[in-house]
Amino acid sequence: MSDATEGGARCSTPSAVPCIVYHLLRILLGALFLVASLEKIERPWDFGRAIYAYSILVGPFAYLISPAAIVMPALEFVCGALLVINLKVRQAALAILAMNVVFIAAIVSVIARGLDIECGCGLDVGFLGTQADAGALIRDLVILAVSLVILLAPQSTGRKT
Amino acid sequence: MWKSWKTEIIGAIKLVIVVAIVAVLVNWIRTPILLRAAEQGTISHARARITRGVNLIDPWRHKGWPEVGVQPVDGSPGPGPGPTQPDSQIWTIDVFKAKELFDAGDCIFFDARGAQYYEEGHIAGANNWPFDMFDSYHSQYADTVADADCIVAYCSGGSCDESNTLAVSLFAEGYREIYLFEGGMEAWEYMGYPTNVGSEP
Repeated sequence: MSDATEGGARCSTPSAVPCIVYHLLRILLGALFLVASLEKIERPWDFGRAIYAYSILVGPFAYLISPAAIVMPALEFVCGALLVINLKVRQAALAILAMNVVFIAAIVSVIARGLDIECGCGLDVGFLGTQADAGALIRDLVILAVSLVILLAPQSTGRKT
Repeated sequence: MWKSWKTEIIGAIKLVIVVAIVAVLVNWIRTPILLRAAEQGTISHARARITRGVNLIDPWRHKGWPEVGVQPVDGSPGPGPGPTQPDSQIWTIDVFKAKELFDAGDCIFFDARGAQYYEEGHIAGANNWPFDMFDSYHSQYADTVADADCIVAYCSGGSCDESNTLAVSLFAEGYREIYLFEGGMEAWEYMGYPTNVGSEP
């Protein structure tokens, strides 16, 4: 990438290690959101159904299910792409952070109510599990931590603003 | 410090708004594009149905669709029916559970409306059993029902109660594993699931 940012954008000494870790995390998180969004974008009905199953948007709030099923995957896609291509990283990380807080709150409420429903997280790969359970919660907490790291990384790591 | 964060936060909000607007526009145009592609044979009709956009204004429960999952009609809490619960009551199901049962193929579907409505369109494979002619159809369907693992009754949806009457009649007759699909044809067609027209199932 360009080295026009202040503080030096290239991974050179003495901050090479945090710099490489930062960029690795950035690309990993971006790719994760990018891939996870694809299935949801392709099948908005299934994602809407997953949101519906959370039984959080009930009554008049059911009007928000369809918009959420459309906007959230698109937001995940765009933020993931921005992270991967190293553009507007902090804004994308902020949006991802906000989304993750919502996901975590939703999963906590599901666990608290003892519901056994699908996560609807995208990336429903076998070993990761497909249910909205403690595993999904831990996954989201890890993602939250990574997005915080990216958000708060010092300039010396070559972070672009 | 705060100033730069403020800029970032405003930028993030702008990002969300722009993405939301674009996503809604894309959702709006994707269904006609997919339908056209299906008509031209570029993609299958099934794929067009599954991947089409969602109706932005219609809430998911606007037509009184019941809760996700399976709940007994009498309102008492309980787990879903299964082989461990042979004496379960009549269970209310939503359109997704109905589709699951439809795909599994173990249940027999009964359209509880009059023949005229049945011929205008019914769930693919469903038999017509008008609720007000229970006895006259009973002999006709007795063997079929005995072979099926479960029964799904439906009518037009919304506030229709033909299926309820049929389900209660079936239950009184001694049948068990009866599901009441409350969303009925309305929810089924809304989801784009398979239907047939005419007097044949």
